[in-house]
Amino acid sequence: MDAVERLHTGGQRLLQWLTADGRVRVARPRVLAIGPLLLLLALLAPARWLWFIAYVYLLLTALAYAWVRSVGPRVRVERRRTGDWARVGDTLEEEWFVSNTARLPLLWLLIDDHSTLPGSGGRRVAAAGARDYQRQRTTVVCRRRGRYQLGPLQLRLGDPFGLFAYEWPDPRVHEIVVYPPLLQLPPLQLPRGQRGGLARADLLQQQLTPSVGGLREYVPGDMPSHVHWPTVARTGRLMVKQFDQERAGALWIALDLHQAAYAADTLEQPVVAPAVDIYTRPAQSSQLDQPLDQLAPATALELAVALACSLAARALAEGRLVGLLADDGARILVTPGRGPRQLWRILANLVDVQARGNHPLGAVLERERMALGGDLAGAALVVVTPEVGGDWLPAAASWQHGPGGTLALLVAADASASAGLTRRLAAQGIAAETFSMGTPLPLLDPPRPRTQRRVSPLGRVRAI
Amino acid sequence: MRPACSWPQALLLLLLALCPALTAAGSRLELPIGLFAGAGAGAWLAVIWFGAPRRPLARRIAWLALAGLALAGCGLILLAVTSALPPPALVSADLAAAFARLAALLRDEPAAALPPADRTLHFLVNAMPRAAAELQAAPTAGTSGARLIIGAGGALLTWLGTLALVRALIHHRSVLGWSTPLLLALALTTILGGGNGAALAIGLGLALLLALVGDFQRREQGWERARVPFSDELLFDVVLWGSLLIGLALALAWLLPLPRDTPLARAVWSRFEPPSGIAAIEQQVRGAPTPVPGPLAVGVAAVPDLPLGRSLAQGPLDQPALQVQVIPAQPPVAPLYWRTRVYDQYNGRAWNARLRRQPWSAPLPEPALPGLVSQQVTDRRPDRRDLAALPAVVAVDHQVTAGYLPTGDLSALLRADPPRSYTVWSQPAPAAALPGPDTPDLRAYLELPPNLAPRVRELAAAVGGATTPREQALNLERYLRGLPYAYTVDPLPVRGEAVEQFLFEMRRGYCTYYASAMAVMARSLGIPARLAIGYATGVAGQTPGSYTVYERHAHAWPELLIDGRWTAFEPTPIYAPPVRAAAGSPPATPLPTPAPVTPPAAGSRLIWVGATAALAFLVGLALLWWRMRLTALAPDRRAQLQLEAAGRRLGLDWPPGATLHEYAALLATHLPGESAALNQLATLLATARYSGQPLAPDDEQTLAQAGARLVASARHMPEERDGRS
Repeated sequence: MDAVERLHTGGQRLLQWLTADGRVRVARPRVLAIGPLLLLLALLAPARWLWFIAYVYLLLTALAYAWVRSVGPRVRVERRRTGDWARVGDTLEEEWFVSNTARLPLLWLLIDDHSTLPGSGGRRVAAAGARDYQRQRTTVVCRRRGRYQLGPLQLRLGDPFGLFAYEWPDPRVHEIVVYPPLLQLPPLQLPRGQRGGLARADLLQQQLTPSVGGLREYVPGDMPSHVHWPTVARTGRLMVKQFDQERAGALWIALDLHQAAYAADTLEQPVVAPAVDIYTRPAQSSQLDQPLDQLAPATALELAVALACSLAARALAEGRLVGLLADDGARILVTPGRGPRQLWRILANLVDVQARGNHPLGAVLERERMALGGDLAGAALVVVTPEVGGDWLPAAASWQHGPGGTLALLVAADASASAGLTRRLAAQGIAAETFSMGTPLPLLDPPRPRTQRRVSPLGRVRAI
Repeated sequence: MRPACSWPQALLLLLLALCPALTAAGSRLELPIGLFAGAGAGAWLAVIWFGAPRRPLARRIAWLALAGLALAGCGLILLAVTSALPPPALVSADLAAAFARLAALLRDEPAAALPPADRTLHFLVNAMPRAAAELQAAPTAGTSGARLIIGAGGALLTWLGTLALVRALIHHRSVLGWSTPLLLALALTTILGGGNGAALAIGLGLALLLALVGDFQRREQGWERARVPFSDELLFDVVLWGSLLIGLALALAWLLPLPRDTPLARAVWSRFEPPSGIAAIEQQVRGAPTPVPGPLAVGVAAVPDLPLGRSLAQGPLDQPALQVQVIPAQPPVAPLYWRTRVYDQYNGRAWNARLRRQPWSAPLPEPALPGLVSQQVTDRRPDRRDLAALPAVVAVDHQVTAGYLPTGDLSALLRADPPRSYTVWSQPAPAAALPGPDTPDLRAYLELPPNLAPRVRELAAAVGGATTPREQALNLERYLRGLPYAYTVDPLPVRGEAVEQFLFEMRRGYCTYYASAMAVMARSLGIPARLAIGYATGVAGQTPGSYTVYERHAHAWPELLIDGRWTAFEPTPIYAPPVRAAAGSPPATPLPTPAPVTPPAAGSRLIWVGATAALAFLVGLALLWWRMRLTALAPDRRAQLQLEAAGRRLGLDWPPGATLHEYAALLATHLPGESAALNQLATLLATARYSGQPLAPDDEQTLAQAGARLVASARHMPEERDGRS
């Protein structure tokens, strides 16, 4: 019994070794049968040249197997990326490193990349010489916000005749976040709201803002951190920065994510692996792989999200307190705050939002006004919505504490679609701006075109 | 013309397909090399003609065409290997006759006088049962059976194997697997035919190399279809390292033992007694013993042999041979053949005659003898051992020796010291009636060589028809006169029967070939026949009845025993046919001077019409093929071609560096009504090319419609311009 068991175990081990734990497999079983059939024929009719043909086929089969068994386990694939996050419009670079430590060359390696980042997945073929490596750099322009994963990989190589294949998975996965794009908005007068008083804490907050109105002579009591040292060095006089002291309330950005409001969007918008780009580019299509410098969101949702993010970036850049409220089936609330961290908070909340909300914008505004209560005192409101029927208008009016306290960014197919609502808004003292889908807007911080450099033998760096 | 696969694959395939022919050339069984080469090369041509259509209907038609081609090729190979293929001359003559009959039918003219158009069919009706019987009897037919088995099997496998490989290449199947039938053909021909194996090793290497290239290019095409980026240099590395593997496998296989016997083979074959055909094959495989030459043939013919392929002229063609004065000036026969010798035996390569010599003892004729023709001959030939005279010699004014055939017929008048001038009296017509062909002596005129191919008999039967001997002879003469004349031809092969070679392989020659062919074909029909050589009439002089005969008039013609008398026929097309009048009556026309004439061109105009129709058909096929290739392209590639075609039609070349959209915008300036279609086409094209994602089916359809609309608009543009101008 032990002998049988040992034999069975030994057989299994041999099979495991022969197949390299199941990684080696026969790609063409029928072709593989030709050699044994010819050998049988030669045994039956022992003609000299029949033996010769049978030998050639069998030897070729053995050599092909040896090739795959020798090269397969000695191939490694690594991928390195430039970062873990990007914004729509950024170019994500990846470096692929295929090394082969075998004594035989890696003739071809099919890399099947199951990454979910649009434009990043798919298959590519690599090769490497004996005891050599190959480095490939791939770039992909991030065209869609969302959370994606890079990997896993399925790798496959074979012998020159394709009789055997060596196939193995690389399950490593890296996550990457593509934030919504920040666009340069046309000149807009942001609603300022009203501040009830000026506390010491507000002053400190204001001093932290970058809204420098000018310089003045130092007076006792000024904070040392307000000294503008470059001017001191230039003029020899002690000068301090003077900040904009205008009193402005917090700016709430209300993004409409009601499902019915985006019914006109025909493109499906899966979170991952979209079949169609939702950002179109007005430049030559033959330059699709070049870095983007402007974007034209093609759907109302993407335009609305991009507007909300861009508006937040602009307001934060002006030193405003910015908050976000929305409802995509779940309540999204970012309490007002300042600075870059607040921008990242807003962007992170909008990375993968979809128009799945069950409540219209008016209801959301009313609900949040009731919920926030006193925190909304003096706050300004910016409504970003494709709903041009104006049902949300009464709720927005209830937020308004005075003229100029509310701004509406309307998303529409064209300006004429929102003309009626614009007039009604104007009648109530609410400024409005209409953005059309497909209209290109420049990126706030466009990626620089990549310049390749080559170092000459004398050490000179030349751009190519 | 581009092959359906890549050129390297096509060239490798051609070399591989010709390897069985190379093996057949080295076979000890004298296999039909041309058949092997034709099978391989013919199937290879399918690479050129058969594309890879993607549309279901075209694919089905192509598949049916290929299946029909494969079947037709098998039938042709079987007919060819059993020598049952009708000669092309017979087929073309029948086609011409069919055209002529069709034309007569259209013109409401009687077609009874036209030659029959069903002789090819008769040939096949006779030949095919014989071919089937030969194939059936091949296993028991010794060496000839072995030759038939290996020839048929090898050629069929070559044909089918090459076709299968062609199809595998076109449809991106595994070349390594689909090359097996062709390798089997190669192995069959080498092993069973007793070849030396060099061609087998070469063919095996070529097959593996083709598999290497074909399979990797198939992989590359798969990557291309899936838009997987890869380097073109991969193929070079794969071929390099794959070739090394092939070389290593071949070398190692060469070093391994190649046993001639195995226990398994002993157990299976020990009690098997093979038929003679299989035994002959086995003998080839085992190694045939070196043949021991037999004893030399004893006995020399009294007159030199006349092998086919030897010129009859004794000197330069413009050298005078004879000067003849005929009395009366208008003899009762035409044309005048100055006969020097008659042969009665044909051995498949040459004519000969065993003569019984005895002195000529005929007295000088009475002047009143009817039909007597006197010939005063001045002989200027360098070799004058035989006298030249009209047939049916009655008397000679010199002492000569008569050479008689075994039948008692006079073959030649010989003299050791030939005179320069002599007078001969002949009574060419009417001759005395001879005994019928049942006489044992006449059977010599019916003997045929043992290696005469059956298809010669079948051709004679098909051409002669089931009529009287005279009509059969005239049909044979008419058919042979349709073959093209050539004074310079390739020499006959070392082996094989000469008349068969002339009728089926060479299909052109000069008088010896024509005369021999007619004599042999007549004998196969049961008409006693012999070969006469001498000179044609020559050039008539100013004096009536005087002729100057040059060496270029050296001639051979058949004489057939028709209605009890030997009748000369003229199958050589450059000589006018004899004037055949009723027996005993004078010739209807004055004696003509035979001169080279153009071979008859029966139905030549109709042939031109047919050739033009065939050419138009081929052009149509080529256009159809081009169209099918265009539709077989990927949608983006087809749209790109359509865009470029529209631009060329408008005279707008693609500017260097212009993008798709720029070029589309340029075209839109000339096609203002199509700017939307152009923009759509450019956008979809750019998406298909550069997005890295395949187009959606709807987009592909839109792209195809835009391309077709663009081409149609561009096609109509010049007409509108012309209308305006």
